[in-house]
Amino acid sequence: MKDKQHIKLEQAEPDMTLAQDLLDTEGHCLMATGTLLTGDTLASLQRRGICNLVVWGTEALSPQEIAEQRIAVQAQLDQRFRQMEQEPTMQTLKAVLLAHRLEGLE
Amino acid sequence: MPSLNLNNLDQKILQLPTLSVVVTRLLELLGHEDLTMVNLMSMVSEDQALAARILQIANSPFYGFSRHVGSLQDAGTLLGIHTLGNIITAAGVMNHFPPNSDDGFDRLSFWQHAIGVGICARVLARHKGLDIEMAFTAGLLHDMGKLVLASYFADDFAAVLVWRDEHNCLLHDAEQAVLGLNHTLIGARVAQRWRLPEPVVNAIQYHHSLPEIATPLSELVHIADILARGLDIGHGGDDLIPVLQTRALQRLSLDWQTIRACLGEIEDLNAAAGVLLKQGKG
Repeated sequence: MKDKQHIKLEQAEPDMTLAQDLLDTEGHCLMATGTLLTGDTLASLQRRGICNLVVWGTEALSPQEIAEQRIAVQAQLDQRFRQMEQEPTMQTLKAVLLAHRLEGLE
Repeated sequence: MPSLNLNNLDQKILQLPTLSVVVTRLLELLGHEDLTMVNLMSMVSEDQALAARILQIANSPFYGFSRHVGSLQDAGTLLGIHTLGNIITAAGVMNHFPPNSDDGFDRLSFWQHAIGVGICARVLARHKGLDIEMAFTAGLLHDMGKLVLASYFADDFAAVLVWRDEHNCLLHDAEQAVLGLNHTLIGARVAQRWRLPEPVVNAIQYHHSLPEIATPLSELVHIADILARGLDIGHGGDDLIPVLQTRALQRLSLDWQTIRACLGEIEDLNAAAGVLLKQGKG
């Protein structure tokens, strides 16, 4: 399965492929969808102030990788909502966010 | 003893630097019906940093122009006075607290969060038929009180950070405990002094604690702040999440299904929003 992944620049690695055009400050396309990232291009993006990217997953995640990512997302939300166990509305919000963030992993 | 408190807040704020002369004059004129695009553009062109930031924002994915907005004249024609007014408000404050400056507070992460909140507010506003430009500006500037604290009251802010770490709490609660006031009031008073639009001042003041009768914009920014935290966009100074006031959802008639539907759109816009963090030229 080829899925779109929203990642921060620091999570980007060489050999990932852009799934959405990157624009520069002038509105020009800096890198087009489909560009294969390299160490040099990542350094260039950092210099240009790019913080977030959308990349294609290059291949299907293994069941184990999916399980690990689910645990990581869950842990992140648990940390963020750690003082909200007694708040029903916040638990609903947490469930909505969790469902959204896990969607791309399925 | 902290130097800032409720009694001396207004006096201390009077001593702070103002926005640039051009931005201040523009903010005074923006509400006037006789302001023409020609006058507005002529004034903007006197402030190169402002002009550069306006073009940067005009060329961001929010406006989705198929062609490059290359000049102020282009921006004026394509955007109109209302949108430009909001961009000028946002650009004026961003240039006052540039993302790349280093004063011990991680401004880059701060502005990432602020932009994320602006995007959340903008997307929600579009779904509800509210003013999307004002929503983005209010979301972007909702936490400007934190920047005022970090930039001009560094010792007080350092004491707040120590309290936050010792008590595992929101920055807002640490400010209240240490100073007896928090960034929402500080931000609103400074925004008022800088003559930012009244609805934006209101959203800055009430985004953590909505009054019984709140403006839709305040409610929108309250929800947007919480969503941006939940989506882990940037860092506003703590890693917790404030309680969502359900009456904000009720009054805006927002249900969970709608919120869920907005999340993907928010992340798509945010993925391309890093361009706003580059230092403006000029």
